[in-house]
Amino acid sequence: MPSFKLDELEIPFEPGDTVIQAAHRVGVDIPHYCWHPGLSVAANCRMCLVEVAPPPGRPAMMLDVLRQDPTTGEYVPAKKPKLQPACQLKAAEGMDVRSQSSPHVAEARGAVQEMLLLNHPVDCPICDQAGECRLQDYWLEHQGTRKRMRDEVIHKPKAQVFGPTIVYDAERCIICTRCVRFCEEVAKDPVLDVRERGNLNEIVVSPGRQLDHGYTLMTEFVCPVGALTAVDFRFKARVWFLRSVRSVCQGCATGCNAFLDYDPRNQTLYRHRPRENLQVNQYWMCDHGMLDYRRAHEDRFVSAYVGEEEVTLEAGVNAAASALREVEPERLAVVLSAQHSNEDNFALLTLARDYLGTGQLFITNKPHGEADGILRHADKNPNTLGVEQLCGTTPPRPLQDLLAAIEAGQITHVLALSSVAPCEVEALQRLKRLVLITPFDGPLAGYADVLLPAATWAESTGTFVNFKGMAQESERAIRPEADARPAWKLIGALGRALGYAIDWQRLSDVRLAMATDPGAVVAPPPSARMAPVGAAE
Amino acid sequence: MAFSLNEAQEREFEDILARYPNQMAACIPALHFCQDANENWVSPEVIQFVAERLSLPTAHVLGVVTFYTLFNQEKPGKHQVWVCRTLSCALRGSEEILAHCEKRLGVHAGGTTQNGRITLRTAECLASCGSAPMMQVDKDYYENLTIEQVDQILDRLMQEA
Repeated sequence: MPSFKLDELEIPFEPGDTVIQAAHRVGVDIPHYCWHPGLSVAANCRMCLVEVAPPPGRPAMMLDVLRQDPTTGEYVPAKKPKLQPACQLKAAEGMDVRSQSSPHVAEARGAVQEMLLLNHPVDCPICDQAGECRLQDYWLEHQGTRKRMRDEVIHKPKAQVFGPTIVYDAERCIICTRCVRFCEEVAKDPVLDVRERGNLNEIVVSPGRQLDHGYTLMTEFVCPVGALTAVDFRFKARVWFLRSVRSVCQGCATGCNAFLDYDPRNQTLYRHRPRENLQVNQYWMCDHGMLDYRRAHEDRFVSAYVGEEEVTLEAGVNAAASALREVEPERLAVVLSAQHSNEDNFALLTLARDYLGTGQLFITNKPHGEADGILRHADKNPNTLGVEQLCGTTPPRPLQDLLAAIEAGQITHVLALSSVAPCEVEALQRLKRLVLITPFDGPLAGYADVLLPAATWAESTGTFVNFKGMAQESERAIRPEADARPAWKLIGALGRALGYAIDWQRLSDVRLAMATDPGAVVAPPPSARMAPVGAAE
Repeated sequence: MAFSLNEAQEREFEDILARYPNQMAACIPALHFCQDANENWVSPEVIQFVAERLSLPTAHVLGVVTFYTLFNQEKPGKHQVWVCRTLSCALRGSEEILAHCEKRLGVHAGGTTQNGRITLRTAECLASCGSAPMMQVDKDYYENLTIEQVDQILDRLMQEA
């Protein structure tokens, strides 16, 4: 592989790579605002300027400049090299690029920083971006000087509503045009552009339109400064109090890699952010997915119920066990869930096949929705393929078949995971007993005789297999609320209450059992290219 | 009120589009043509019209219109007067000419007279330094100006039918 030299580092590159791209791929950051690995090159922020040494035997391209002599205050003729933006500069074999090691680059970056901050309101204390703002980070790294301009700053519109989800502050904006390019190139809806020129520049929404496509929060997320802010996150949290786990979006079968940000002090989720994975979601997530984190706190069951009565978890498990003990295996059906992880489904499948001895396996899922040709998949369940793989040669039948069997009187008892359903489920009222293990309220919950509160994906670690067949791990963020427990744990407890020797104390116990089953996939630990909380791409 | 072109204008508009390799390249000439056809200003309806005809995002056309000062975003007077104030003209008395115009018309540079006849503006170099001081009225240059000549020009503009 050809390579070039960046400061003292040898950076390999693929033909066609730009210097910044090749450096980014091996994890070396050249300071930048407007460049984004997933967007076209604009080269307008000038932060990534680098010095390139001339080829051997050739003179450097030098510019004549006047430089102020600090002792006399006089301007004296001097020379400096012509710097080039690393985002636009194609890498070439043996190239000698100087980034951190060049005093000229350091000077240029300081100057760029100073210019970008000339009219900035410096309202960091009330800015949501504070703590993960490039203006802040780069001020520390590359400028560090006080403001010299004494003139009144240019004032521009603040708190402009761009659409239902996004608010724009033109004074904080550095016109990097990442949002403009994102809307055009990724969301395929060129609803933003730049108006005016020079220091009157501001981002504008198309007349008669709102910023309302399916990727508005991503439009906000690509903003390297606090100009675009999300209504959902605005004034909710300071990012330095948040912690992140590497999760997988539960919104559809695409399985976008995400960071789930939460506050450990109040065990509350605050946002979902994309995590770079070029095989799945590249750098992006859709609005639906980025807001999906809110579901973890909504319509929850956090204690066990027997009928309408709230009971302790132990009483709930015992009630579930006695409900299942009274039935013959052929009258009992077990419903797996495309909403739950491989671990949860494996636990239920093991209980059903190996202990309860029923072969009546079904799967429930959320009804299908729209695909958008970008990221969103029509299958709104994160683990459909995972459940199918688990079941191997005897795939689970759809919920509709179960309802028919109940109508026909063949099934009298059901043990089900999750409360979602792809169809009307009135036939469930003919059941003698429905034992439901679910984190959320849903169509099935109304028919449950015994309900055990499961942990959400945010409260337990698990493996999800996306529509491409990629097994991905989603990590636990917060502790399960109140009596909620990971579903595999509840299933283990239920098995023990039924008198079976199931000893799953930890997730690793379940995974050890899964290791002997070729259909049961456990994802390798997730990768994280980006810093958990901080200036992400 | 929606903006539209008459048949003859339509033909000319199509002719403009045909001169450029792609429609985005025709944006500025198309806007100039429509501005002339719309009492010298680019109304939101004109922006919409150009965006639709050139298959460009409306925001892009708005960006072009706001970037260039020669597109009027508000309706100007019947005539537009630009007084050059760059070096050669400044040395030859453009300041007096501008001050005189402002006094005569009762508006500051950038304003439009109350009767809506004249919009007075300043301009940076209009490339007629050899005949300074000069000003541009609509699309014509008036060069080697004296205060008397300026008065004659303004009188004519104010009085003509």
